[in-house]
Amino acid sequence: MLQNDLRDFIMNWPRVKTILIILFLCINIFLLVDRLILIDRTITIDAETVADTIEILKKNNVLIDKAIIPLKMSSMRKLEMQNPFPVPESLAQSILGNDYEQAFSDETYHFLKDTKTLTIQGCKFAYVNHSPDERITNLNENTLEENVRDILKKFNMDNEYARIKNVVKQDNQHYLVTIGQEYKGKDIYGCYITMNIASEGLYSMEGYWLIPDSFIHESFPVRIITGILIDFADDMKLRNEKQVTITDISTGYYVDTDMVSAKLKTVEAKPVWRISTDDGSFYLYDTINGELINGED
Amino acid sequence: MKKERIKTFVLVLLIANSLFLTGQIWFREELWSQDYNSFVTLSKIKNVFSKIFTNDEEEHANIEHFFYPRKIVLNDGNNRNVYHYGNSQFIDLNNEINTVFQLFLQNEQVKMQTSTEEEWLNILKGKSFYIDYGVSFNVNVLARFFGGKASDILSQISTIKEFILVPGDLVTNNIMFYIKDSKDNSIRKFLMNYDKSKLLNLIEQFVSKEQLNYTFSFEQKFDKMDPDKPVVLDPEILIPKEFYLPKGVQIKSNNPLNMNNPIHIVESFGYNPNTTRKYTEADNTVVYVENYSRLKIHPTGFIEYTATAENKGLLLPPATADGTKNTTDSQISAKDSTVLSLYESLNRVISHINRVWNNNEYLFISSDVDENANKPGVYKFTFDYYYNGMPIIMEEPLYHAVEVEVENGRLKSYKHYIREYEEYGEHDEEVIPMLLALDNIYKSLAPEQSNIKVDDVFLGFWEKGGNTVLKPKWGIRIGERIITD
Repeated sequence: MLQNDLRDFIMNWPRVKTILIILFLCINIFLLVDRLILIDRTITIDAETVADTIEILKKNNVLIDKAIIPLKMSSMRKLEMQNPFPVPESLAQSILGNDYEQAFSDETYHFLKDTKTLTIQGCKFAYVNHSPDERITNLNENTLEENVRDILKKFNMDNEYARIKNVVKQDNQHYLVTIGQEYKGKDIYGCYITMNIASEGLYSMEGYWLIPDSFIHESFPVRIITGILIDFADDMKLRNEKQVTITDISTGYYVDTDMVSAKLKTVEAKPVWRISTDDGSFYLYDTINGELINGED
Repeated sequence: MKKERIKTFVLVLLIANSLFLTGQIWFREELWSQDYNSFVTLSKIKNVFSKIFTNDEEEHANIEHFFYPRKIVLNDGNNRNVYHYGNSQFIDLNNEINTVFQLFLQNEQVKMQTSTEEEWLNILKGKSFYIDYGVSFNVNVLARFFGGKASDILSQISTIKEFILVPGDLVTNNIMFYIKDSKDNSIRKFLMNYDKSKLLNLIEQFVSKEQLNYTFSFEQKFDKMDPDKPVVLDPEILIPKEFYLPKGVQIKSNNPLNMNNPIHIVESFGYNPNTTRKYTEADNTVVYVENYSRLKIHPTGFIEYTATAENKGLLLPPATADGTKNTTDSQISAKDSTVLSLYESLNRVISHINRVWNNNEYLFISSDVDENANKPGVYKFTFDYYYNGMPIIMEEPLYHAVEVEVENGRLKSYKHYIREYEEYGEHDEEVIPMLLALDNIYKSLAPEQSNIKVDDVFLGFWEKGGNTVLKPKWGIRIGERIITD
């Protein structure tokens, strides 16, 4: 009987080989895709974990609505940011034009032209014009964005990803405008400029102007949000916060501009979890290692 | 039939490929716990294989490499030959001398006498081995390297840069070591019972009149002050007997750094490339920033690490026999950061250099290895490239191929100019005679300078950066200053 089976198997060996070739071809394709294309892994959190997390948070005076906890999380990539002005002189040229005076002291570049000054320390710049004379007609909330973009364009500052994040109208009819960057629907934190504009023109502008360029090839698994929330509760306890309510959870990118050289060309923005609370603060957590980056009001 | 063969071949290929890819995923993702299991063993086996295939061992410069003398001068009474790293027989000769020196350090029957500079120079004229390390080694460090105890024999000596080994006289079976204390230039003579015929055989084997012969400058009286001579030479400077030197080699300097994949360099400083902040400067220098330190990798091959806070630099792990890291950073306990001995600090620094870059065949220590009386545990070491005994001089602002500052095993600062050198055939121009070169260099000095004491005269290469061909040139050293024509 066994002999017959063996004989049949040997007789059908060419067919078995074909089946095996197809089978291994499929396995190889799957493995190759995993190896070379690096599938973005998605992690799903089960309902029990979410319920347990909410309970732990509650015991630590952190309230959260179940609906705002994302249940599925895909891997994220780091984002490369470009500095369009990799040498300080190129920014000075763009803002002040030619014939400026230049000095360097205390790790700071100083540029001066007429009533305008520009200082650059690390990759942070501060521009002040003590008597602007480029009048802006019809400046109001509705025309503000258009005027801001015109100013950026005039200074050769690419504004494709620029978004107005905050506007404060002062008593003297000056507008304080915060402009941040957004890439593929996600905010980029730590990289912004603030403008002080009025109908006389631009009074001042300061901050960091880095442009999102492209994602870095390698993707990193995202730290599970329930773990991040428990860390958040611990951090709140350390800060002696009485009771906070989490109002929003989202992902974005954070670019750390601290200790960065003035001759910056590119810098990596890391993916982050953003946890917003009811007192208007938000907290950023690195999605790769889960560390708290900073808390901002 | 042929079709079936092809199918079998394809099937085998597919099975092998699926096994390979599965292995890749296992190892990439490290899909195992760190407890005992077969994958951990597999991982170790993989590391061993990768070492074999990358020929890592051969390129590693272990601690012995950094204790090679800069030159060994052999004299049979008539001819004097010089050996340095790069000569085919240098390692054999050095091993023989090390064996005798080791016996000397472990021998309790050694007799010591004081000696004089005059006797030292006289000894150099006869049958002798003159060993010049090029830098001063603290006697404890040298003794520990040779496995002996300095306190027994060398207790009255502080630092050693050079010594002479003499086969002895015709009457006794004693051999003699003349050791100069490089701190105060005092000389001591040690007599040890040893079969001197072994040393005489070595001299016979390694000295030949066919090789380039040298005299010491003191034999030509270039070390004596003379109102007509504004320059005097150190007495142990070697002068080739032949006026014109044979054509020497020229070397090609290469920058081997691959900026697309500097991950192992980043990891060698304890950084996690996935989580460390990274940015690029306008000149394409890649900068990694951690909370208390910064690492810059320049496309020119220059690596610069700086600890930005006190006592927060990378804690160098203890070195293993093969110069690799034997513990993870988390396993290095706080006790490792207590005051570290000079030898241990040097050992850890050498291991670190090997971790940063594993091809250090031409890298040798160029700073004195001595205790820091003001701040024990705080040391600065420099290393430079030497090709066939000829120094490769770095130009400003680098000065040295490697500069390391450590404080109790913690890295305060690390600068490394990564270069690789290869022989590039003979150069087409004659090397001008040494004394003519010395004359030219002297003329290039300020006219008011006189009574100059030259500490060294050497043939060397001057590094220009980039992938360039370097030709040997004469240079002189006056103190820390290096001058060429």
